[in-house]
Amino acid sequence: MAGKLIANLIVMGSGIIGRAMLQAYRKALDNANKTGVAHETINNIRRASKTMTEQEARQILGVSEQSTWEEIAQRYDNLFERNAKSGSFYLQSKVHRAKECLENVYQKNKQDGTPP
Amino acid sequence: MGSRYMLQAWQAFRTRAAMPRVWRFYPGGFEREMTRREAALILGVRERAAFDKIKEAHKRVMVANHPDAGGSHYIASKINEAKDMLMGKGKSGSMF
Repeated sequence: MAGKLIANLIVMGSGIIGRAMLQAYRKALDNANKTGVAHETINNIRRASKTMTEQEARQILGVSEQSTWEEIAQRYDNLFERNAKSGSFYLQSKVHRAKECLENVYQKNKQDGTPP
Repeated sequence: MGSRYMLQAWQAFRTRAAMPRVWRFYPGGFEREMTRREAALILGVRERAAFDKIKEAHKRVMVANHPDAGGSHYIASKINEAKDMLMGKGKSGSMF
């Protein structure tokens, strides 16, 4: 008898607490959205982790905005080989990703017909 | 008979797996703020590697990416930052 009562109380109590927490979470999300801080951080995190920016790619390969594709390919080959021999795989990946990123940029420029 | 085949297959597998062909390059660029994990990856050491290992790895990786030899200053600064991070934290860790 008493056990059933206690069980009921526990279930109801946890339900109420759970619902309250959900509401608080939702309200916190709304607040964050209103201030706009969460959006920025989310976007930054997403952008920083998934893709490489063109500027960073140029920095990694050590080329400028006016460099030709041949120069970039040369630097890429050089850096890739040196890192494969005595660097780290991580750095090799970054060099590769930088070349990939700039490749897209230069292909796009070639299609548009505008000089890089 | 089956075991002989297995032995042959094993030998073939061992001799073939010399060069890793299924490497997948790490995606994206460097992280906005360097972490210990990234520092360890850059130098190619474990996060809790010994000092001399870190120094030796730093020298090796720096030689491979030296600005005078075709490397970029950006990467060189990342390598130095990685070494500082691992040395600094490592030092305080070993004191306690």
